[in-house]
Amino acid sequence: MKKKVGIVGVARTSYGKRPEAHLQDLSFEAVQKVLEQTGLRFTEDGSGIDATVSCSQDHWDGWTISSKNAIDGAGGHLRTEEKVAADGAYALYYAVLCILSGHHDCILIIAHTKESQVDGRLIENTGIEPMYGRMLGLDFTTCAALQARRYMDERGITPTQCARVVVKNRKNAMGNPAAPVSEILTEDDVLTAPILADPIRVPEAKPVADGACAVIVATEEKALQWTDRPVWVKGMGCCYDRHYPGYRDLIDPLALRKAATMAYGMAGVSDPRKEVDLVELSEYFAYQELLWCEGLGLCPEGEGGKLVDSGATGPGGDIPVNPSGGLLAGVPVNVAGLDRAVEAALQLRAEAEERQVEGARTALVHGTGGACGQMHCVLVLGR
Amino acid sequence: MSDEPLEIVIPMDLRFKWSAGPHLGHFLRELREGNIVANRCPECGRLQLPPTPVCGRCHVAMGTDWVPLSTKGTVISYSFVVDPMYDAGIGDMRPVPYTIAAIVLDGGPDVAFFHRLEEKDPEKVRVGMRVEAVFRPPGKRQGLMEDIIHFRTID
Repeated sequence: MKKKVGIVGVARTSYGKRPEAHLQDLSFEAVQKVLEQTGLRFTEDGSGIDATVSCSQDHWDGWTISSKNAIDGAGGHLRTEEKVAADGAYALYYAVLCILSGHHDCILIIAHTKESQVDGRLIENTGIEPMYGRMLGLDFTTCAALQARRYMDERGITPTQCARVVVKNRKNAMGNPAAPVSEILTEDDVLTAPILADPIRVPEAKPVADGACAVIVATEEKALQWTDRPVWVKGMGCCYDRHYPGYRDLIDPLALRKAATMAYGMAGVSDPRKEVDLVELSEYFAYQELLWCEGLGLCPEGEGGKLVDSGATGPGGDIPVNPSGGLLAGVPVNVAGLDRAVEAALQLRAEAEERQVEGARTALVHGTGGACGQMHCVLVLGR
Repeated sequence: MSDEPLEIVIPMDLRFKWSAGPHLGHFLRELREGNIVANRCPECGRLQLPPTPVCGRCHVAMGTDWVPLSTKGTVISYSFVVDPMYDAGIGDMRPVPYTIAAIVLDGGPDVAFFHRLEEKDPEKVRVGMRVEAVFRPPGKRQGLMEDIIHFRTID
């Protein structure tokens, strides 16, 4: 990228179920934390945050233009506030563009969702085209199950390999204070757990989560002024495939490969397996971590299973994937992709505590939306 | 202030009247007659199912090159769904378990058609099995995907 955009602050709530909290409590909590951490305020003279990008979805909030849930706490009162109704990685992407365009120098991004307030499968059922797929009961879980079966059938991915993702990410989550999951599982626990939509078992699906996370991005000049540990956005790309999964070859994450190619090109990454130190990706279901690793070019096509078998994606491996525990640790939808950036930034600032990847200099961030990976957003972050 | 969490339940019942438009509308009218049709892109020649007004790949208007497909096909993926979910179509929880499948219909190799299978025994379903659409009786069809009851096994 010709101009540099830096992350100057990251913060979040914990992601357990929060029956006591209004949605606005969640977003305000994350915003207060990031303001306290950076010492920045909402200003109009260029000395602080110029504008806000919020990230949520009306159908999850049950409230049209649902950014109104966050607007006061996010500094949006009589100021510029724009909403990205997609995964949080897209909100970061959009905020970076706002800075690259010269429109703003500093932006607060706040993503928030309270999944526990509604039956999420019904919400995701309304994410499917109404007259053709929705009436059949398709939702993101059943579409994922069809993708998982096809991936396993065509590529020889085994239930044990998928279970290994759960075991790894659950174990990683024990070092992540924001993660609500509290139980380490064995492969056997996963392989004998109740079925959700086969071949997907309950612990292979992202748990229900509530919460918010906040990121502040700024121009190079301001980032250097405000923090001694800036994290730079080195490259980014996003790509949409067709909505109806019947049009896509579900074992080929084409949109992800294209998004990654754009991000790598901008960042000057030619061999991600060698040049990237860690990956925070969005696995709503265990098999997706394997398939997304293939799409990100971390292993050859069809070898996502062998990759997890080799231990390369585990702690101490050559390409740790989701050292935070990923989405299987419990991260709210929409918040998901922005939380990947929060985790990557903590790693690059050497603040990831127990889950720290030693010497991390370059990290991959991945967000996805739509049924079984319709759209993908990839960012390369570096210190 | 009391610390007791206060949660308020407010149901939402939204009735939409969706317009199917000429392309999906033609497909649904044909479905009511017991036929499954796709439309073909004049540029790349790929079939669109569900039919659309535009080919996303070529960005050209699809026109009216309608191609009848067989109501028989091959299962390329399936799932036994056991976690119940509310079904707005019936106003109640959808009965479980049910089997949802991706089916490539004979004559339509470009796209997968999603529907339920009659077979609910996990031991008896496999990728590659042959299935055929079972339609509701002619008088009971409404131009909906539900005009197909399910796909039955044919070998």
